[in-house]
Amino acid sequence: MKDSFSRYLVLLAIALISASLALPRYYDMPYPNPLGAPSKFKPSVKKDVLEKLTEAQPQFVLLGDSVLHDGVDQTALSQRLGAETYNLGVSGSGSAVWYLLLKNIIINAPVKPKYVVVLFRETILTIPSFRTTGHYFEGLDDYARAKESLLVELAYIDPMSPAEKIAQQYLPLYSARWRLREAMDSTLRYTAASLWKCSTRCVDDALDSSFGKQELDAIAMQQAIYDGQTLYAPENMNFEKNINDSFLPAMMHIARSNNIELIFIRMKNMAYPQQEMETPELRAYLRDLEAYLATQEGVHYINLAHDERILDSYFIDQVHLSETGRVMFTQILADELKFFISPSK
Amino acid sequence: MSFTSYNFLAFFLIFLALYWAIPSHRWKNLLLLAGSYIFYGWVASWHVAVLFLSTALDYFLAIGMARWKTRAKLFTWVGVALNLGMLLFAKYYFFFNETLANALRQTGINGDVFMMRVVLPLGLSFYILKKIGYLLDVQRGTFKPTRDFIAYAAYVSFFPQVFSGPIDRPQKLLTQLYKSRSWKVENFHNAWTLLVMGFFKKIVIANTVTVIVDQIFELEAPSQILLLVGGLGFTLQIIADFSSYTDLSRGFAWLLGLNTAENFNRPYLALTPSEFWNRWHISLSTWLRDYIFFPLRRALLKRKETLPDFLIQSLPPLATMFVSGVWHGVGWKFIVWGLYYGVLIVLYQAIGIRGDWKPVGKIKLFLAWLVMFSLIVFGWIIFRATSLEWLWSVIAVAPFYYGAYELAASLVLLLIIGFYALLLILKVLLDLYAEKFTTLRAVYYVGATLMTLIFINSSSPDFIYSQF
Repeated sequence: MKDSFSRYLVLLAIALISASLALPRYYDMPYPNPLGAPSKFKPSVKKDVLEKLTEAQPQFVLLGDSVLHDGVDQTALSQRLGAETYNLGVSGSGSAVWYLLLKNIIINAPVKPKYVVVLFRETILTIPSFRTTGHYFEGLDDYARAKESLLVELAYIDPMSPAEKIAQQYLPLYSARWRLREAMDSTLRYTAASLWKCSTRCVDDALDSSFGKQELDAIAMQQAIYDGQTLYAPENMNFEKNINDSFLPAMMHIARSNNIELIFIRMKNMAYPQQEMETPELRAYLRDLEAYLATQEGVHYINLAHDERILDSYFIDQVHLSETGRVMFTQILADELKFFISPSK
Repeated sequence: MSFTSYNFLAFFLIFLALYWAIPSHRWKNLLLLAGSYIFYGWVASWHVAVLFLSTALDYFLAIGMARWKTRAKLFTWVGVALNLGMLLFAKYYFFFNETLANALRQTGINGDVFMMRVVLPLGLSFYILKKIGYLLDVQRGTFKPTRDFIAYAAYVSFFPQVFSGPIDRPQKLLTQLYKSRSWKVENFHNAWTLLVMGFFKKIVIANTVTVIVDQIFELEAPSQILLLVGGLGFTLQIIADFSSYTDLSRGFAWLLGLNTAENFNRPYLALTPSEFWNRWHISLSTWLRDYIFFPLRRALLKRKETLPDFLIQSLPPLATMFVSGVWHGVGWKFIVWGLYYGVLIVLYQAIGIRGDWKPVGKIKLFLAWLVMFSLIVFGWIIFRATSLEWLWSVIAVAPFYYGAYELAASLVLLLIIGFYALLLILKVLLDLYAEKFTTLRAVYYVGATLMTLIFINSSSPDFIYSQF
């Protein structure tokens, strides 16, 4: 065993040194790799959203993830509310993307909306790193500028443990892990299939047709599982500790400077459809969040997490709404937002 | 706090330094207990109170057995009943009491979720068996009741084992806690391969294959070929996941100078159902054998004259595997899964094939293995199925495959599963045929480490067996 361990160490050292020499060249990475985002951000942000906002001039812009994107009918919402709305839900997004959308797009619209509605669940608002790595990076990059110092600090550097920081800088095998995994995954998926002349397209179509919308992407699915756990991780339940390291203060500052009011809506989900089922830790976190938002100027909070109008049968999984759920939730949301355009307001 | 999290690694490194800094084994045990309670209480602190109170109860009951020998049986049954009651209540109460579950639902409490999240402390199934085993051993006189409460409480709550075993016997682990421990380099040499393999199997294999398996078993009506692929995937996932936990548990225990039980001995190479259970989750199998199978068989043999032979032969395996099914999960499918193995053992015995059976000739050997492996895969399909109705609809109604695209998808997934299976098969081959080729083995461990580094931090699902 002793002999085996020394051989292991020698071989491991050789492998790591070889990888450290080859990978930076292969992937054009600097060495040591500076701490920060997994890749460089593209210099410009995606233009189409700003164009649509410029054209629509909505009074309400809604921010959220796929729950909002797939769960709210923008046209029906505008009609029932009697005001122009814009659904800016981005599937697979978190507070980092919502911060970028507010900072780089919404406030740059020639006519700024009066209200920005943020549809969230559980602890998303105070986990800045939520959905920022792996395949989520691409979506985030769409709305980032070349230099995003707060984003890099909060989403990428702060959450790293000391060991991770060292590995990220000095171990190219670790810093290039997403690319290596993606390469390995696609090799396995496509190369093997090419043996019986099934092309890349053929494999994608085959998986799509077998699994419907849910693409069988190992990395994406693993992240989805990870996300579910992250929201309820004990370290993310401490509101007081996490609030200053989140995008919330910056979002509120940006909104206030641009005369935009923020409306935070906590959405129902099937993990804790009833308040009694929530853990004491989650309840305490949400109490602190509500108290914090109540002290902020131009900020409103609506809790729909246990709203009886949103039936359990409206959900197709833990968080997403069915077609009926979409119709009903759009109406409920419109009724909630009516308060803000009522003359008494 | 998962074994693969940074939190745990930081916790363990600090713990390890303190542990070896303390010279006295009694203080080491106290630290072990404190560390175990912190580790266990990380998820829900009040679970520690349940663990502590039930541990104290067993401790005093065992002492009572030694002091009042005439009442030893009474004390034993009180202890067993309380432990078992706790386990059954936590696991099965809402399953059987639909009325109460419905009433709770009316008041806004979802019984199942409430039980899973609030009432059922993690790892209960594992430490309860440890405690029952201790009481029964004391009553039988095979183990002396301990007077060292700290050592006993540390044995029950031993943090590398508390969530998912192995279910170590007091004879093996508790006796080690009585003795002084000093750091030896052998501890590290015993630990490092287990740790490398544990992280590799969990992070690289189990966490990746789970994606395919979950997708297939979440389909409303998969074809039979997809079910087969999902079954093969789960067969790989569950061994990678569970054996990785055992490897890590044993590796961490070795670093603390403690030798804990092995839980797996290449179970998928088994040729008979009995052999499979002698190789799979060994600490549970031996527990079931010693405390259910043997006593029941002995009791039946005493009535040999009045009972038919087939009942004496078939009842013990059926009852044991029924208990195994109940232990593994809540719901009919787990009971069916347990009984499935019970029936298989009875059938194999009926045709004269005992646990140690080995046919002569390579073809016969291969066929025997193939039949048993297929039965194991089918067993895992029952285990992983969404429900028995779902499984029946796939087997009886769904076609073998829906079309060319699905066939292609199945083949792609099968190849991916095959690739990850190959990584484990290579290890088995190395263990079987290359014990002395240290360089070759070192190359394998280096490959495993590199892959773990690449796959790390991209996922961290829980260990499957911690849900039991």
